[in-house]
Amino acid sequence: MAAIRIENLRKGFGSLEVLKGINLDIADGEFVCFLGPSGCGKSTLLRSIAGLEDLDGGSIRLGERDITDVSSAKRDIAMVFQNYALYPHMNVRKNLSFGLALNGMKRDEIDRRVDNAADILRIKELLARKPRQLSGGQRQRVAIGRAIVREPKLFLLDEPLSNLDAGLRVTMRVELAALHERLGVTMIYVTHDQVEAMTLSDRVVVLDKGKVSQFGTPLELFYQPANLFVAGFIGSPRMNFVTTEVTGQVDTSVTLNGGGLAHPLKLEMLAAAPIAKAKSVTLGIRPDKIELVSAEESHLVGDVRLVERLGTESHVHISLENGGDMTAVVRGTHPVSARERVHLRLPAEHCHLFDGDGQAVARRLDAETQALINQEKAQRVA
Amino acid sequence: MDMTYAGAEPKVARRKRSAIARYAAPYLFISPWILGFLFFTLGPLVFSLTMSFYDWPVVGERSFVGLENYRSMLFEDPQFWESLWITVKFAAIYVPFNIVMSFLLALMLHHITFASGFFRTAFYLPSVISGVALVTIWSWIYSREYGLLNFMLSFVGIDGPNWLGDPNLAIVAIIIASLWGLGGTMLILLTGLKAIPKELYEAATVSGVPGWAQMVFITLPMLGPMLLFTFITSIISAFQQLTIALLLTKGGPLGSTYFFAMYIYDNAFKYFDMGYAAAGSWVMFIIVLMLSLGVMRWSAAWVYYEGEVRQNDGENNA
Repeated sequence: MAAIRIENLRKGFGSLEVLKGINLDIADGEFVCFLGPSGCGKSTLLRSIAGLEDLDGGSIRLGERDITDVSSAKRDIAMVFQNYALYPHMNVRKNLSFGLALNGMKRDEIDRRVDNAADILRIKELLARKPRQLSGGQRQRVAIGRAIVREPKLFLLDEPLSNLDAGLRVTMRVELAALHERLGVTMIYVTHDQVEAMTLSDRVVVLDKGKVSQFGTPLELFYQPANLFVAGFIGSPRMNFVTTEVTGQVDTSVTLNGGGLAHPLKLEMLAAAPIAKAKSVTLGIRPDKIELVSAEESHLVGDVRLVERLGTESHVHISLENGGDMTAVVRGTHPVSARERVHLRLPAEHCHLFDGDGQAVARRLDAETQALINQEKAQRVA
Repeated sequence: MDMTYAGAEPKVARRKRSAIARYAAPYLFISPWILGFLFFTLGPLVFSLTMSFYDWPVVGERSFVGLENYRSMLFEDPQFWESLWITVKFAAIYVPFNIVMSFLLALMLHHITFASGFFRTAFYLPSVISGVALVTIWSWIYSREYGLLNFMLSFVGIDGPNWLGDPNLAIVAIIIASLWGLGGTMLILLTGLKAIPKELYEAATVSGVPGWAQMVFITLPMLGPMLLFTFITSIISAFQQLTIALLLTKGGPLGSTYFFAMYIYDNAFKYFDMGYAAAGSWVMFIIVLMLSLGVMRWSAAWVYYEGEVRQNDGENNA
């Protein structure tokens, strides 16, 4: 078993508190990404799990074992570093076997593991080369190989693809997913790239200012963001926000009007949401869900500032009449142009609602989306 | 046509001028250094080589003697061999001590977190003190009756020896005094230590590589080029040892600290035999050159350069 349980983990550097009580339960064999902007504490959290940071409080369990005070070497983990951290004076074979040899492993066993890792990563022909004779992608493979030979219970990867060019990153991403499938080992992956996080992970931990903002499957984060931070962070172009007010509430339906909205909008929530009438709330909508309509049907009015034509779709940047900006994604052939006045409709079924504290009010998803999220969760359990 | 031609002529001239300026500009910029090198390095070098083939008294007739200076030095002058032997002994002790102690100090300063700036300055400062001031301080430290060293030894019941008067101890005293200036070497090694990516150690730590092995298999190889550089410069400075011996012991007692550089110095400025002294300098140059080349050759086995690709590296270098 290599499930990880992190409880109330705290870590600071001087007066700066970087991790403010992290709680996480990661299942055995799961691929989890730590995602967040620079300085959110994701790398510190990973390094804490690796035993490379002294903690200020909290505990870490790996399987049945409390590893909080166990030295890094004895945690049964392997780590892949952002800049590969290959020993430049050793050839690839030595890079892979260095740690094993010094831990007293037998020559035969070392050779077996090195050859096995080299097979998996297709680096057999590179074993005699020095790191400087390798391309970025090959170096990355060697760095991963160094983790594989340890046959650890837990893989920690600290932004392993961020030094590679865009094309290679996509290739390595696919390879990493295949590697996880093949090894079946728990993997924790730090990234600031949401595409990496969304495509690789079983679940994603979104971190914000040293706290877990949300921990869920990629689709959960996208369709049911827990708060304004996650809603704004996940998805590109980012979600649009409009500040408005609750003007009426009957059971699960909430009516919004005023603020940024030109016309009232009625949303169906999952439960009878306890939002006080007239309270200022934030309405969120993804750019691709906004519809350009006639004046009678619209909720918002604005002027097009810029149209970015990307081929299959166009990004329309709009300055709203009531202040604020909005981005809409329309089909590539849509004739909208700059300086044009546009009327926007926000389909209620695609709107997100956030209370005064920025926390999401659970919304009712359409059957198709709900089925997709359930399917993703089922796959994760399998 | 005429108009075109007339208009083009100054343009061509201008282009020619600017081409010359472009060609000459870099040389003009480096000319102070080139002139300095020609007059103060290459000139004296050639001059001393010429001198070494002459009987060249400071005053009086000079005469060409060919290799006579070299022949008599190597085959008829026991003092040459004695002074060379003393220098070799000195180098054999000073060079390893200088490197090992500099390395240990650098290592300590690299890991120290408290007042690191103060300690770095404190250890480096002695190396910028002028030789004469240094010798004055050390002559106080080594003094038989009033010396700081013997005063401190008296606390543990040891009757301190006559450091500078004992032929066996005088060279030790000079080695210790010379080691006082290891700040420069230490600084180079400290810079090298700081340049080693900390991820290499972290990767090793996570892999369960013990601390001593990280030192042997990561730190030392990564410091290779720096160690080689300090090794060679230490050899050179050991062979050039003059100031401390000249001022502290004057070559004594009983010639026990009569270094090779002092032998050259005496021939030049005591016996005024410039040709002979020049020949001595060239012998020293050749010895140091051979030693350095030997070390460079040997270093191929243990020094690793990030930018270098060797023939036998890898099966396929394409």
